[in-house]
Amino acid sequence: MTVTVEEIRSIVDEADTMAEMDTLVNDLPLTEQDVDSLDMANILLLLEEKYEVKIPDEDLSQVQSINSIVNYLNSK
Amino acid sequence: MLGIETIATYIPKTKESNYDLKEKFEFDDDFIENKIGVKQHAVKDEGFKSSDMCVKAFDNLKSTTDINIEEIECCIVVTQNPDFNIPHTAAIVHGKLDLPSSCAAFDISLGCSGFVYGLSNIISFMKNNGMKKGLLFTSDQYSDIVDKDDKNTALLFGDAATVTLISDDATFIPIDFSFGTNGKDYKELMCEETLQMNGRAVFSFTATTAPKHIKALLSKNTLTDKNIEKYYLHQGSRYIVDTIRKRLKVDAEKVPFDMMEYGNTISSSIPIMLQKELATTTKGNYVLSAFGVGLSWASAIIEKIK
Repeated sequence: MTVTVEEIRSIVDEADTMAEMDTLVNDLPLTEQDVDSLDMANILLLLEEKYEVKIPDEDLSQVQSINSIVNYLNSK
Repeated sequence: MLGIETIATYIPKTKESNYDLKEKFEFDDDFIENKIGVKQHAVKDEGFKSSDMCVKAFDNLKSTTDINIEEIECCIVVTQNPDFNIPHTAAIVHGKLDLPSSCAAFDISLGCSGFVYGLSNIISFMKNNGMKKGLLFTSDQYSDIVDKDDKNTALLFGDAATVTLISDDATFIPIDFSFGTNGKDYKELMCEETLQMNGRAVFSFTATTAPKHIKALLSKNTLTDKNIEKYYLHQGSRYIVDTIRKRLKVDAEKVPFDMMEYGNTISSSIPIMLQKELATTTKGNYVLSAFGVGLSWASAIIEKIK
Protein backbone atom coordinates (compact mmCIF):
# COMPACT_ATOMS: atom_id res chain seq x y z
CA MET A 1 0.00 0.00 0.00
CA THR A 2 1.35 3.44 -0.97
CA VAL A 3 -0.48 6.24 0.74
CA THR A 4 0.24 9.87 -0.12
CA VAL A 5 0.04 13.11 1.84
CA GLU A 6 -2.52 14.38 -0.66
CA GLU A 7 -4.80 11.43 0.00
CA ILE A 8 -4.71 12.00 3.76
CA ARG A 9 -5.31 15.73 3.37
CA SER A 10 -8.30 14.88 1.20
CA ILE A 11 -9.71 12.65 3.96
CA VAL A 12 -9.21 15.37 6.58
CA ASP A 13 -11.06 17.74 4.24
CA GLU A 14 -13.86 15.19 3.79
CA ALA A 15 -14.26 14.98 7.60
CA ASP A 16 -15.42 18.62 7.49
CA THR A 17 -13.43 19.77 10.51
CA MET A 18 -12.90 23.33 11.72
CA ALA A 19 -9.28 23.16 10.49
CA GLU A 20 -8.28 25.47 7.61
CA MET A 21 -7.01 23.18 4.87
CA ASP A 22 -4.94 25.99 3.32
CA THR A 23 -2.87 26.41 6.45
CA LEU A 24 -2.94 22.85 7.78
CA VAL A 25 0.62 21.72 8.49
CA ASN A 26 1.59 18.13 7.71
CA ASP A 27 3.97 17.53 10.59
CA LEU A 28 1.94 18.94 13.49
CA PRO A 29 -0.68 16.94 15.40
CA LEU A 30 -4.11 17.53 13.91
CA THR A 31 -5.53 18.13 17.39
CA GLU A 32 -3.25 21.18 17.64
CA GLN A 33 -4.79 22.56 14.42
CA ASP A 34 -8.51 22.89 15.25
CA VAL A 35 -9.31 19.20 14.83
CA ASP A 36 -11.21 18.15 17.97
CA SER A 37 -11.59 14.67 19.44
CA LEU A 38 -14.84 13.91 17.59
CA ASP A 39 -13.38 15.03 14.26
CA MET A 40 -10.35 12.86 14.99
CA ALA A 41 -12.59 9.83 15.60
CA ASN A 42 -14.29 10.54 12.27
CA ILE A 43 -10.95 10.90 10.42
CA LEU A 44 -9.73 7.59 11.85
CA LEU A 45 -12.96 5.89 10.78
CA LEU A 46 -12.65 7.31 7.26
CA LEU A 47 -9.04 6.05 7.13
CA GLU A 48 -10.10 2.59 8.31
CA GLU A 49 -12.84 2.43 5.70
CA LYS A 50 -10.75 3.74 2.79
CA TYR A 51 -7.66 1.64 3.46
CA GLU A 52 -9.47 -1.37 4.99
CA VAL A 53 -7.25 -1.37 8.05
CA LYS A 54 -7.98 -1.46 11.76
CA ILE A 55 -6.28 1.29 13.76
CA PRO A 56 -6.42 0.06 17.37
CA ASP A 57 -6.51 2.50 20.30
CA GLU A 58 -2.98 1.38 21.22
CA ASP A 59 -1.70 2.86 17.94
CA LEU A 60 -3.31 6.29 18.33
CA SER A 61 0.00 7.94 19.25
CA GLN A 62 1.29 6.90 15.81
CA VAL A 63 -1.48 8.65 13.84
CA GLN A 64 -1.50 12.19 15.17
CA SER A 65 -0.25 14.22 12.19
CA ILE A 66 -0.77 13.90 8.45
CA ASN A 67 2.82 12.76 7.99
CA SER A 68 2.60 10.22 10.80
CA ILE A 69 -0.65 8.85 9.35
CA VAL A 70 1.03 8.44 5.96
CA ASN A 71 3.98 6.63 7.56
CA TYR A 72 1.71 4.46 9.69
CA LEU A 73 -0.45 3.36 6.79
CA ASN A 74 2.52 2.75 4.50
CA SER A 75 4.00 0.45 7.11
CA LYS A 76 0.89 -1.74 7.04
CA MET B 1 -54.77 -2.35 14.17
CA LEU B 2 -52.57 -1.94 17.23
CA GLY B 3 -50.18 1.00 17.21
CA ILE B 4 -49.21 4.20 18.97
CA GLU B 5 -52.29 6.13 20.08
CA THR B 6 -50.42 8.84 21.95
CA ILE B 7 -47.26 9.60 23.94
CA ALA B 8 -46.53 11.61 27.08
CA THR B 9 -43.16 12.58 28.46
CA TYR B 10 -41.49 13.63 31.68
CA ILE B 11 -38.34 15.74 31.53
CA PRO B 12 -37.26 17.06 34.95
CA LYS B 13 -37.46 20.83 35.30
CA THR B 14 -34.02 20.98 36.92
CA LYS B 15 -31.26 21.44 34.35
CA GLU B 16 -27.49 21.65 34.74
CA SER B 17 -25.83 24.06 32.33
CA ASN B 18 -22.97 22.67 30.27
CA TYR B 19 -21.55 26.18 29.91
CA ASP B 20 -20.77 26.02 33.64
CA LEU B 21 -18.62 22.96 32.95
CA LYS B 22 -16.72 24.17 29.90
CA GLU B 23 -13.68 25.44 31.79
CA LYS B 24 -13.41 22.26 33.84
CA PHE B 25 -13.34 20.14 30.68
CA GLU B 26 -11.69 22.75 28.38
CA PHE B 27 -14.58 22.78 25.89
CA ASP B 28 -15.61 25.89 23.96
CA ASP B 29 -19.15 27.01 23.09
CA ASP B 30 -18.87 25.65 19.55
CA PHE B 31 -18.02 22.17 20.84
CA ILE B 32 -20.90 22.25 23.34
CA GLU B 33 -23.46 23.41 20.78
CA ASN B 34 -22.32 21.88 17.51
CA LYS B 35 -20.52 18.71 18.55
CA ILE B 36 -22.09 17.51 21.79
CA GLY B 37 -25.28 19.41 20.97
CA VAL B 38 -26.37 19.79 24.59
CA LYS B 39 -26.51 23.23 26.24
CA GLN B 40 -28.03 21.85 29.43
CA HIS B 41 -28.95 18.38 30.65
CA ALA B 42 -31.99 17.40 32.72
CA VAL B 43 -31.44 16.11 36.25
CA LYS B 44 -34.09 14.41 38.36
CA ASP B 45 -34.73 15.22 42.00
CA GLU B 46 -32.47 13.56 44.56
CA GLY B 47 -33.89 10.17 45.53
CA PHE B 48 -36.19 9.99 42.51
CA LYS B 49 -36.16 6.53 40.96
CA SER B 50 -37.06 5.08 37.58
CA SER B 51 -40.61 4.22 38.67
CA ASP B 52 -41.12 7.77 40.00
CA MET B 53 -40.27 9.20 36.59
CA CYS B 54 -42.65 6.70 34.92
CA VAL B 55 -45.44 7.88 37.23
CA LYS B 56 -44.70 11.51 36.30
CA ALA B 57 -44.92 10.62 32.60
CA PHE B 58 -48.20 8.82 33.23
CA ASP B 59 -49.57 11.85 35.11
CA ASN B 60 -48.83 13.90 31.99
CA LEU B 61 -50.59 11.27 29.86
CA LYS B 62 -53.69 11.49 32.06
CA SER B 63 -53.73 15.27 31.76
CA THR B 64 -53.98 15.09 27.96
CA THR B 65 -55.81 11.81 27.32
CA ASP B 66 -59.04 10.31 28.55
CA ILE B 67 -57.67 7.05 29.91
CA ASN B 68 -59.40 4.39 31.99
CA ILE B 69 -56.92 2.58 34.25
CA GLU B 70 -59.17 -0.50 34.35
CA GLU B 71 -58.68 -1.00 30.59
CA ILE B 72 -54.86 -1.28 30.78
CA GLU B 73 -53.89 -4.90 30.09
CA CYS B 74 -50.13 -4.59 29.72
CA CYS B 75 -47.38 -2.47 31.33
CA ILE B 76 -43.80 -2.68 30.07
CA VAL B 77 -40.90 -0.61 31.43
CA VAL B 78 -37.72 -0.21 29.38
CA THR B 79 -34.91 0.70 31.77
CA GLN B 80 -31.35 -0.18 32.71
CA ASN B 81 -31.60 1.79 35.93
CA PRO B 82 -34.31 -0.17 37.74
CA ASP B 83 -35.45 0.89 41.20
CA PHE B 84 -34.03 -2.37 42.57
CA ASN B 85 -32.41 -5.54 41.21
CA ILE B 86 -35.49 -7.35 42.45
CA PRO B 87 -38.38 -6.83 41.70
CA HIS B 88 -38.86 -5.54 38.17
CA THR B 89 -39.68 -1.83 37.95
CA ALA B 90 -42.85 -2.53 35.93
CA ALA B 91 -44.34 -4.18 39.03
CA ILE B 92 -43.59 -1.07 41.09
CA VAL B 93 -45.12 1.16 38.42
CA HIS B 94 -48.13 -1.19 38.28
CA GLY B 95 -48.61 -0.72 42.02
CA LYS B 96 -48.11 3.05 42.02
CA LEU B 97 -50.62 3.51 39.18
CA ASP B 98 -53.08 1.06 40.77
CA LEU B 99 -53.34 -0.90 37.52
CA PRO B 100 -55.72 -3.91 37.54
CA SER B 101 -54.47 -7.28 38.77
CA SER B 102 -55.20 -8.76 35.32
CA CYS B 103 -52.56 -6.44 33.80
CA ALA B 104 -49.28 -8.06 32.65
CA ALA B 105 -46.15 -6.22 33.76
CA PHE B 106 -42.50 -6.79 32.91
CA ASP B 107 -39.25 -4.95 32.22
CA ILE B 108 -37.05 -4.86 29.16
CA SER B 109 -33.38 -4.25 29.92
CA LEU B 110 -32.09 -2.22 27.00
CA GLY B 111 -30.50 1.19 26.61
CA CYS B 112 -30.70 3.49 23.61
CA SER B 113 -32.30 0.90 21.31
CA GLY B 114 -34.96 0.20 23.95
CA PHE B 115 -37.92 2.14 22.59
CA VAL B 116 -37.80 0.49 19.16
CA TYR B 117 -37.38 -2.96 20.73
CA GLY B 118 -40.10 -2.13 23.25
CA LEU B 119 -42.52 -1.00 20.57
CA SER B 120 -42.15 -4.26 18.67
CA ASN B 121 -42.39 -6.27 21.89
CA ILE B 122 -45.52 -4.65 23.27
CA ILE B 123 -47.40 -4.77 19.98
CA SER B 124 -46.49 -8.44 19.43
CA PHE B 125 -47.31 -9.35 23.04
CA MET B 126 -50.64 -7.57 22.99
CA LYS B 127 -51.58 -8.97 19.58
CA ASN B 128 -50.77 -12.54 20.58
CA ASN B 129 -52.77 -12.21 23.79
CA GLY B 130 -55.78 -10.36 22.43
CA MET B 131 -55.10 -7.18 24.40
CA LYS B 132 -56.53 -3.79 23.44
CA LYS B 133 -54.68 -1.23 25.59
CA GLY B 134 -51.13 -1.23 26.93
CA LEU B 135 -48.47 1.13 28.28
CA LEU B 136 -44.85 1.19 27.13
CA PHE B 137 -42.63 3.18 29.48
CA THR B 138 -39.02 4.27 28.93
CA SER B 139 -37.14 5.59 31.94
CA ASP B 140 -33.48 6.09 32.78
CA GLN B 141 -31.75 8.36 35.26
CA TYR B 142 -28.11 8.44 34.19
CA SER B 143 -27.44 11.21 36.71
CA ASP B 144 -27.12 8.36 39.25
CA ILE B 145 -24.36 6.56 37.31
CA VAL B 146 -22.42 9.24 35.40
CA ASP B 147 -19.00 10.18 36.78
CA LYS B 148 -19.17 13.98 36.99
CA ASP B 149 -15.43 14.16 36.31
CA ASP B 150 -15.63 12.14 33.08
CA LYS B 151 -15.45 14.48 30.08
CA ASN B 152 -16.83 11.76 27.76
CA THR B 153 -20.17 11.53 29.55
CA ALA B 154 -20.64 14.31 32.14
CA LEU B 155 -22.18 16.79 29.67
CA LEU B 156 -24.07 14.35 27.50
CA PHE B 157 -26.81 12.52 29.34
CA GLY B 158 -30.15 13.78 30.68
CA ASP B 159 -32.78 12.11 32.84
CA ALA B 160 -36.25 11.50 31.36
CA ALA B 161 -39.16 9.10 31.07
CA THR B 162 -41.92 8.59 28.52
CA VAL B 163 -45.10 6.57 28.26
CA THR B 164 -46.61 5.41 24.99
CA LEU B 165 -50.23 4.34 24.91
CA ILE B 166 -50.69 1.38 22.58
CA SER B 167 -54.22 0.72 21.36
CA ASP B 168 -56.29 -0.09 18.29
CA ASP B 169 -57.10 3.64 17.97
CA ALA B 170 -53.64 4.22 16.55
CA THR B 171 -52.00 7.35 15.16
CA PHE B 172 -48.84 5.48 14.15
CA ILE B 173 -48.92 1.85 13.02
CA PRO B 174 -45.85 -0.36 12.58
CA ILE B 175 -44.75 -1.35 9.10
CA ASP B 176 -41.53 -3.27 9.80
CA PHE B 177 -38.77 -3.68 12.37
CA SER B 178 -35.14 -4.79 12.22
CA PHE B 179 -32.68 -5.48 15.03
CA GLY B 180 -29.00 -6.19 15.61
CA THR B 181 -26.41 -6.90 18.28
CA ASN B 182 -22.63 -6.96 18.60
CA GLY B 183 -22.14 -8.51 22.00
CA LYS B 184 -18.39 -8.92 21.55
CA ASP B 185 -17.92 -5.18 22.08
CA TYR B 186 -20.17 -4.81 25.13
CA LYS B 187 -17.30 -3.32 27.16
CA GLU B 188 -17.21 -0.19 24.98
CA LEU B 189 -20.22 1.18 26.87
CA MET B 190 -20.91 -0.26 30.28
CA CYS B 191 -21.51 0.52 33.93
CA GLU B 192 -19.96 -1.35 36.84
CA GLU B 193 -19.88 1.47 39.39
CA THR B 194 -20.01 4.44 37.02
CA LEU B 195 -20.73 4.69 33.31
CA GLN B 196 -17.69 4.13 31.08
CA MET B 197 -17.80 4.91 27.37
CA ASN B 198 -15.13 4.46 24.70
CA GLY B 199 -16.27 7.43 22.63
CA ARG B 200 -14.29 6.53 19.53
CA ALA B 201 -15.52 2.91 19.50
CA VAL B 202 -19.15 3.93 20.01
CA PHE B 203 -18.86 6.59 17.30
CA SER B 204 -17.35 4.15 14.79
CA PHE B 205 -19.97 1.51 15.58
CA THR B 206 -22.83 3.95 15.14
CA ALA B 207 -21.51 5.71 12.06
CA THR B 208 -20.94 2.42 10.25
CA THR B 209 -23.93 0.43 11.50
CA ALA B 210 -26.91 2.80 11.63
CA PRO B 211 -26.89 4.13 8.03
CA LYS B 212 -26.49 0.63 6.55
CA HIS B 213 -29.22 -0.73 8.82
CA ILE B 214 -31.67 1.99 7.82
CA LYS B 215 -30.89 1.60 4.11
CA ALA B 216 -31.35 -2.19 4.32
CA LEU B 217 -34.71 -1.81 6.07
CA LEU B 218 -35.93 0.67 3.44
CA SER B 219 -34.72 -1.59 0.64
CA LYS B 220 -36.44 -4.63 2.18
CA ASN B 221 -39.71 -2.68 2.12
CA THR B 222 -39.07 -1.31 -1.41
CA LEU B 223 -39.00 2.24 -0.04
CA THR B 224 -36.60 5.08 -0.79
CA ASP B 225 -35.88 8.41 0.85
CA LYS B 226 -38.72 9.93 -1.22
CA ASN B 227 -41.20 7.73 0.68
CA ILE B 228 -40.00 8.89 4.13
CA GLU B 229 -41.32 12.00 5.88
CA LYS B 230 -38.72 12.08 8.66
CA TYR B 231 -35.97 10.04 10.24
CA TYR B 232 -36.16 9.97 14.05
CA LEU B 233 -32.66 8.97 15.08
CA HIS B 234 -31.63 8.30 18.67
CA GLN B 235 -30.18 11.58 19.93
CA GLY B 236 -26.73 10.28 20.87
CA SER B 237 -25.02 13.62 20.24
CA ARG B 238 -25.26 16.31 17.58
CA TYR B 239 -22.12 14.96 15.94
CA ILE B 240 -23.44 11.43 15.63
CA VAL B 241 -26.87 12.55 14.36
CA ASP B 242 -25.15 14.76 11.75
CA THR B 243 -22.77 11.96 10.78
CA ILE B 244 -25.57 9.44 10.22
CA ARG B 245 -27.57 12.00 8.24
CA LYS B 246 -24.59 12.78 5.99
CA ARG B 247 -23.92 9.10 5.42
CA LEU B 248 -27.59 8.53 4.59
CA LYS B 249 -27.40 11.52 2.22
CA VAL B 250 -30.76 12.91 3.33
CA ASP B 251 -31.83 16.53 3.83
CA ALA B 252 -31.21 18.05 7.26
CA GLU B 253 -34.87 19.09 7.65
CA LYS B 254 -35.89 15.41 7.51
CA VAL B 255 -33.71 14.52 10.49
CA PRO B 256 -34.92 16.33 13.63
CA PHE B 257 -32.38 17.33 16.27
CA ASP B 258 -33.97 17.98 19.64
CA MET B 259 -31.64 17.20 22.56
CA MET B 260 -30.08 20.66 23.01
CA GLU B 261 -32.08 21.62 26.11
CA TYR B 262 -32.19 18.27 27.97
CA GLY B 263 -29.48 15.88 26.74
CA ASN B 264 -29.23 12.28 25.58
CA THR B 265 -32.17 10.61 27.32
CA ILE B 266 -31.34 7.01 26.28
CA SER B 267 -34.49 5.06 25.31
CA SER B 268 -36.66 8.16 25.80
CA SER B 269 -35.02 10.19 23.02
CA ILE B 270 -37.17 8.89 20.15
CA PRO B 271 -40.58 8.98 21.92
CA ILE B 272 -39.83 12.54 23.14
CA MET B 273 -39.48 13.62 19.49
CA LEU B 274 -42.32 11.43 18.25
CA GLN B 275 -44.66 13.00 20.80
CA LYS B 276 -44.16 16.34 19.04
CA GLU B 277 -44.96 14.72 15.70
CA LEU B 278 -48.36 13.59 17.00
CA ALA B 279 -49.60 17.17 16.78
CA THR B 280 -48.80 17.52 13.08
CA THR B 281 -51.09 16.52 10.25
CA THR B 282 -48.43 15.01 8.03
CA LYS B 283 -49.39 11.44 7.20
CA GLY B 284 -46.79 9.07 5.79
CA ASN B 285 -43.84 6.87 6.66
CA TYR B 286 -41.35 7.62 9.41
CA VAL B 287 -38.08 5.87 10.20
CA LEU B 288 -37.00 5.24 13.78
CA SER B 289 -33.42 4.15 14.41
CA ALA B 290 -31.52 3.76 17.66
CA PHE B 291 -28.15 2.37 18.67
CA GLY B 292 -26.05 2.08 21.80
CA VAL B 293 -25.24 -0.07 24.79
CA GLY B 294 -24.92 -3.77 24.01
CA LEU B 295 -23.82 -2.95 21.45
CA SER B 296 -27.39 -2.99 20.22
CA TRP B 297 -29.33 -1.37 17.42
CA ALA B 298 -32.90 -1.34 16.17
CA SER B 299 -34.74 0.40 13.37
CA ALA B 300 -38.39 0.59 12.40
CA ILE B 301 -40.66 2.03 9.77
CA ILE B 302 -43.94 3.31 11.16
CA GLU B 303 -46.81 4.97 9.30
CA LYS B 304 -48.76 7.97 10.54
CA ILE B 305 -52.34 7.27 9.54
CA LYS B 306 -54.09 10.29 11.07
